[in-house]
Amino acid sequence: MTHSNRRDANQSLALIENQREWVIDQIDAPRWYWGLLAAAWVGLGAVADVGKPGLTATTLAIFLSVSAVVSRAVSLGRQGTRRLSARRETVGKQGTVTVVACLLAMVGATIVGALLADHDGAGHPVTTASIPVGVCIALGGHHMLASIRQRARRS
Amino acid sequence: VTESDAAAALVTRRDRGIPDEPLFDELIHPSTRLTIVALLAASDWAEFAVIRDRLGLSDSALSKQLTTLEDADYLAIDRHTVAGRRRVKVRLTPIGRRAFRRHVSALQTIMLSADIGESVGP
Repeated sequence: MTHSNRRDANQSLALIENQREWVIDQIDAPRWYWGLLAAAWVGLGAVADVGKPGLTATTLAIFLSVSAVVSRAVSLGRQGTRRLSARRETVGKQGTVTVVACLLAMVGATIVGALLADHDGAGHPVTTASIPVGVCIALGGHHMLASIRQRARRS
Repeated sequence: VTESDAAAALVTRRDRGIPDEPLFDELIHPSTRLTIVALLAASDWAEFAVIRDRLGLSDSALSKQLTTLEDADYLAIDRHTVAGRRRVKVRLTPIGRRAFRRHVSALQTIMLSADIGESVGP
């Protein structure tokens, strides 16, 4: 085994890893996406406050469907133009786990907040509870993706 | 061995988690093509323009490299039009993905052999 063979193999493996990391770096969503998601979350809370289960269920179904389609493009790209799709294996299972954990935390925080607001006699408890969660989405969505990217790079 | 037998064997190997055998691939190895294939291996697909900008190549130079890989059935090129704009998507085929895995495995084997050689000494 010559040194040049080893050096060549080492450089090639480094080049391959470099491309993987570059693809991971492309996983992002533009700022407007998080603002839109936050607004939709608050809107969903407002619909829940109307007190019509059928309407709430329909709105929730629409919200989840649209979110699923858009979040599939968590790789929307920083400019909001989808020019590359990162492979699921590249992101790793931890990425999916992080997204699901954040979603469950948002739902939990909204439910607990709504119960507390209702207990305090707030007129629109779900809307009241969904506003701070919406703010967290708008301000924290970008950080969540940064965390997913960091974990994916280490995997 | 028929093509379907070979495909079935490949699926069985994957199910058992058996890694593909190392095979140094001269077609993939040159740095430009290796960059293209490595980028596509981490992606489901990428647009022609993304690869071109990443590599800093001209359209014609990239087309030449892509054609070489396409001729070997390593990648597929899908051309379509979105809102009046022509888009070209490039993706690795299962054959290309397997060739890449085997090439990576071969590179790792070279590194491992070199490490063992060094530890044993002359």
